[in-house]
Amino acid sequence: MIDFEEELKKFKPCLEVEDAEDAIYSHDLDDMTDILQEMLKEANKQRR
Amino acid sequence: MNSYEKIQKASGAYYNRGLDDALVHNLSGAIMNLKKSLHYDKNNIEARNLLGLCYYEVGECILALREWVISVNLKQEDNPAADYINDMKPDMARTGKFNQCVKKYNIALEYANQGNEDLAIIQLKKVLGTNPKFVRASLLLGLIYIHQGQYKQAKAVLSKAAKVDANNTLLLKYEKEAEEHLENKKKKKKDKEGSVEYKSGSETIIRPAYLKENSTIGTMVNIIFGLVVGFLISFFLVVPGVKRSATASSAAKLVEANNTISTRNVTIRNLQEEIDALNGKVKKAENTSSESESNMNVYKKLLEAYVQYTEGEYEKAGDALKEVKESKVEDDFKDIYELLAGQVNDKYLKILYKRATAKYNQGSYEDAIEIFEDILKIQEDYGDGDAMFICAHAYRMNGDDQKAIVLYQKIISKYPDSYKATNSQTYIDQIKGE
Repeated sequence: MIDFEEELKKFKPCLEVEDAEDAIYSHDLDDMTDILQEMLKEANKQRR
Repeated sequence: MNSYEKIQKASGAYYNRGLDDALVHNLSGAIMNLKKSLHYDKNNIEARNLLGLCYYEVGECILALREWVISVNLKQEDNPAADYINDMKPDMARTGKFNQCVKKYNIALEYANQGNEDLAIIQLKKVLGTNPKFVRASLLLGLIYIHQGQYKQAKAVLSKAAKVDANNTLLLKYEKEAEEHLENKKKKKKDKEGSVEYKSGSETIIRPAYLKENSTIGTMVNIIFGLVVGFLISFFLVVPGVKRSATASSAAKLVEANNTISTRNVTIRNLQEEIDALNGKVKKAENTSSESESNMNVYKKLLEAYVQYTEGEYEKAGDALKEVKESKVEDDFKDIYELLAGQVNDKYLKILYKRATAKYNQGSYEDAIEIFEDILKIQEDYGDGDAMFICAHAYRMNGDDQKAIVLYQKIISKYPDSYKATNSQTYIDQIKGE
């Protein structure tokens, strides 16, 4: 049996055209390569 | 193979999965795999573009735009994302189709959260009317329908959405829920109309829950009952209705007829008034005409009298003048009339008097009376009452005693000391004595 109130909470408002710019700029673009590079940098720092 | 190549390979593998999912319209799965692909390699342009397309297909236009804009930024040449952006630009305007859909969806969500489910349904129907592939709106509408117990409608909406995104977990969940309820309903209905099972010895007998009476008598009873019910229905429901409509119709016709009659009456009255007015005008015109004709006659006679007078025909002149009434003569002609009358009448009366006495002497009393009356009309005391006196004799001789008495009395009062008065009294006494 579905709990209507709980299910309704899963629905979030859609982004409107006015929000498109924010959506693009705030999008996290980091991928695995970026994470690896970050890790290598940290490892190199620790070695020094 | 170095680490970078491994990462790229993993990204490619997820892209392939995403592509496969997209091809079978499992867009939720495709989106998930393509997102993973991009987590491995953000520069995987194909994966990003395909993710944008998947978002676009399920109605998430802003997310699609986001992916394509990033894609174009990462690779500016030979990138189909630029064309996608151009294609969707008109619909993405503030008043464009997608933006309106999104706004209405957000309003519907607000209504649903406030408990205004009917209003939310109206908004969501509008949204799906504009963009039937908007999966999120279909899901919300399906959920509300389920909450309201409208499982058939929920199933219909969700089935349509399933054609866009076949493996959406929420959609499957709601669809299952709706189906379960529909099944339960069917089961309950069946139970109501269901059969009864029981065992007779080693055999299981199944019969309907209610057994129909199939005997001939039962059929006859049912038919008669049906006829009676039909008759009663027609008598109590149909007949009064027909009567009422007939009465209403005849009443309406009566009112209409009354209206027509009253309108006609008014028209007739108006016409009668017009006729009366016209008759009045005609009468007035006739009067004016006859008056002017008589006026003309007066002047004709006056002229004729003058002409006859100048020719020495005094009798004819007098005859003409006799027919001219002094009152009809206008003031301008009065002097002429009086002058003419003064000169004509003197001679004319002499002639008349001579003729009248002659007639009297001949015993033609009627002719004499006629002439004397003319004389008296012109000059009552002509010949110091002689005309009056002989006229009275003529009346008396002609048997017209009343007129004779009147004239005799006039003579007595006008000439009391004359022999005519004495004689007149004698004649009066004589007439009265007779």
